[in-house]
Amino acid sequence: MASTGMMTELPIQNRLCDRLRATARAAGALVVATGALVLVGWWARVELLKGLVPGAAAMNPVTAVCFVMCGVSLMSQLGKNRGAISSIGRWWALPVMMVGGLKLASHVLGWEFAVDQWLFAARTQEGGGRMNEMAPNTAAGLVFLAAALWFLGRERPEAVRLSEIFAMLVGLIALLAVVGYAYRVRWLYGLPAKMPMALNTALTFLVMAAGILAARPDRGLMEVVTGDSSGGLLVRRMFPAMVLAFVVAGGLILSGERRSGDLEEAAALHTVASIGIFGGFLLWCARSFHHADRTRRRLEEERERFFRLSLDLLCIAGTDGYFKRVNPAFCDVLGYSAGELLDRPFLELVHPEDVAATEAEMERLGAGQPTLHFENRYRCKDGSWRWLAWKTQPFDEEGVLYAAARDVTEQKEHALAILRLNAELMRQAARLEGVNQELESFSYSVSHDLRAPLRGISGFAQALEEHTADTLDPKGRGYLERVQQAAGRMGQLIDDLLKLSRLTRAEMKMEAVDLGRIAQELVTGYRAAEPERKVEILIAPDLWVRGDAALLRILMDNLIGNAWKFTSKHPAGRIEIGSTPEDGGKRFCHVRDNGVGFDKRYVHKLFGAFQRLHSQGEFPGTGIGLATAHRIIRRHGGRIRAEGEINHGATFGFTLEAAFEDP
Amino acid sequence: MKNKIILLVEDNPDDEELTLMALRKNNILNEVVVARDGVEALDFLFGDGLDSAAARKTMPAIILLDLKLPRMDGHEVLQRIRADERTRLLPVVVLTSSKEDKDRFESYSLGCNSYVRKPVDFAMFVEATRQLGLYWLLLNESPPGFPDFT
Repeated sequence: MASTGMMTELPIQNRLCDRLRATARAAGALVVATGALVLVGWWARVELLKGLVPGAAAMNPVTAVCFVMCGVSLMSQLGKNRGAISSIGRWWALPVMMVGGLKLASHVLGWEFAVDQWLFAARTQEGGGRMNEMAPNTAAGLVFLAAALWFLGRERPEAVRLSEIFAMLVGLIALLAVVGYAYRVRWLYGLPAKMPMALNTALTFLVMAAGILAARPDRGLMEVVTGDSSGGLLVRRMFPAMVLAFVVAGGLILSGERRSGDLEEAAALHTVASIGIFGGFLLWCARSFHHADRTRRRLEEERERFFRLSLDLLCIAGTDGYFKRVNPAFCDVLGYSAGELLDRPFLELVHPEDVAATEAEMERLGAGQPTLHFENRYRCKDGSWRWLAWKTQPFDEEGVLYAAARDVTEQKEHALAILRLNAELMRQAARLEGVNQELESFSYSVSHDLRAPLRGISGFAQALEEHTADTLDPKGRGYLERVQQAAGRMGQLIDDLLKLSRLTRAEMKMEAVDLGRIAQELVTGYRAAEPERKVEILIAPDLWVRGDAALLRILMDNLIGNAWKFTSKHPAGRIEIGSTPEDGGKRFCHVRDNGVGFDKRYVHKLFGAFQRLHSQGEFPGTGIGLATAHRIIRRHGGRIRAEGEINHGATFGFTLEAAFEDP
Repeated sequence: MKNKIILLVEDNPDDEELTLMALRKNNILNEVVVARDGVEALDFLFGDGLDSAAARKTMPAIILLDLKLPRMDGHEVLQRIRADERTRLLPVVVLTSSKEDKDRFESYSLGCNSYVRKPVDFAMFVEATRQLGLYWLLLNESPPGFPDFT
């Protein structure tokens, strides 16, 4: 991630480097071509090819061969792939080094070691009375050039530095000669007693030096030159300016003196020209630096403002275990001043239980792996602990970590609370399960064991009655009958009680149910049971709700059954079953009758089990119908309510989840 | 009809008495063998004691089986009866107090021929007994080979 980020940040620098490498390749080619042309010149006796200026010194053919080898060396060290440097090409520099070294030695020590006469020996002897030989500065230049090429292919920084230094020495020697030619100063391009360096040799040296410097634009000193720093900008702008300024100024001084012979005038012109050109470039550079600085400062301020504004905790920490910088959020969250945070190893603030994990994480960071998510607790100044979630990026070269932390204490607490609630819920569920099982076995035993004695009571009362038929008076028989009736009623109550508890235990299967259809079927049943009754029954269409069909049938049976029962004394009974939609996908259904109604004051007792508002004689029943209805609605998550008045009928309304007929 | 015997499996003496009373009331005079728990019932059916089906060389025409019994409950008795070749086809009527779904489901799953809940009211109990006797002893034809022990 980080490395691709760096790459995309510097496209301009990359383009510049590519161009420089291409330039280096072109320089190599040019040098090879020049050397070849000189050799052709020697072979074909073309003065213009041997030396640029007819009559002046020509390039020695051996020098030309050396240049060809240097050019090849440079080109072959520049691989086809961008930036790749091949180390094989440097072997081409070795013969050049030997030739140059031998010639230099012969110059210095006065040996007659005519390396430079190996080629075209006959022709180098002819000409203007002097034989052509390799100039001492040319020999030195070749040695330096070979050294520069030799070190070019090495990876170590010192080798790169050496390569650059030798290339610059070559450039300096060549520049000396070129300037000498330009200003016609003889000793600059050749020692008095010796053959001077040819102009094309000097130029070729310059090209070669430039090519070597351009070959590795991203290493050594060239890294500064091509870099996007102010230093790079300064070099890139000032170096050409400097060359131009000096050349022009030098020219001025020379031409002035030559024209008028007046050194003062020439010096004055030179001074003014230098100051003018230099000053102009200086101002130009200064302006660029000014803008660059301003932009940089603004960016720094922006970053600084965000740093201060952040709600998250931001810091730079050293691998030595100390914070180097913390943002205000750090102080706000933990309660320390920045100084207090920087003064001690941050591990001192980490919760003892988290220290080991933190140390392990630091080790990973030390190995260069970024932290994407890590949590630990920090002690606040007030002694409390805060959970921090970290994201950290190590920067090895600088020995620092950049880290952002978020206070996740509340999330942690919420998560813990949820876990606690969940556990509590599980316990509740287990408890409920236990209660349910108990209830199950309770009703099972009620069902079996509670009824058996009643059968005994009823049966033996009957037996007693028969057995004592002759001796028992009517009063005694009446008592026995009441015993039997009581037993029968208790049996009924037990059955109802079991029915009610079964409602609570039954599994529910939720589906779309049409209450209207159920009502219709029930009504058909009531009418068949009591064909003599004339009751008007209105059932609204579209009474679809979601629920358990079996339970809802029991519900409707109880409500409509009640309505049927309590309208039995009305000459024109009327029962309405309808609904209205409610918010939240609910449906409010009602069963309304015009029967005997009930006393509003006892409405709260209506839904209790075995609660009755009418006497057994008036209307039969055990009083579990509405309790049953209430339970069924409650199991469906709905509400039920009753409205009524004595002799003005009753309305039972309940809400259920609305449903739509399945297509 | 007289040679058909009834096996009543009932642990509650009151219920036993009432059942016998109800049978008498309905003039069902067949011999009633009473087993007071599941083990006794199986002893009668499969044992070779003095009073056993083997000794009498006849199987009961009908078994009236209560569910809640000491030692071995009605469901297990029913399971054993159905598992044995000799009694596999024997008519068994479950006669009990409960009408819990669980009990009914289990009884029918194990292969009872009928499930009757004893009513609390004695008059209704007598009526139920009458109908049972009428149906199982008169109307209903036994499976081949019953009740004679072949």
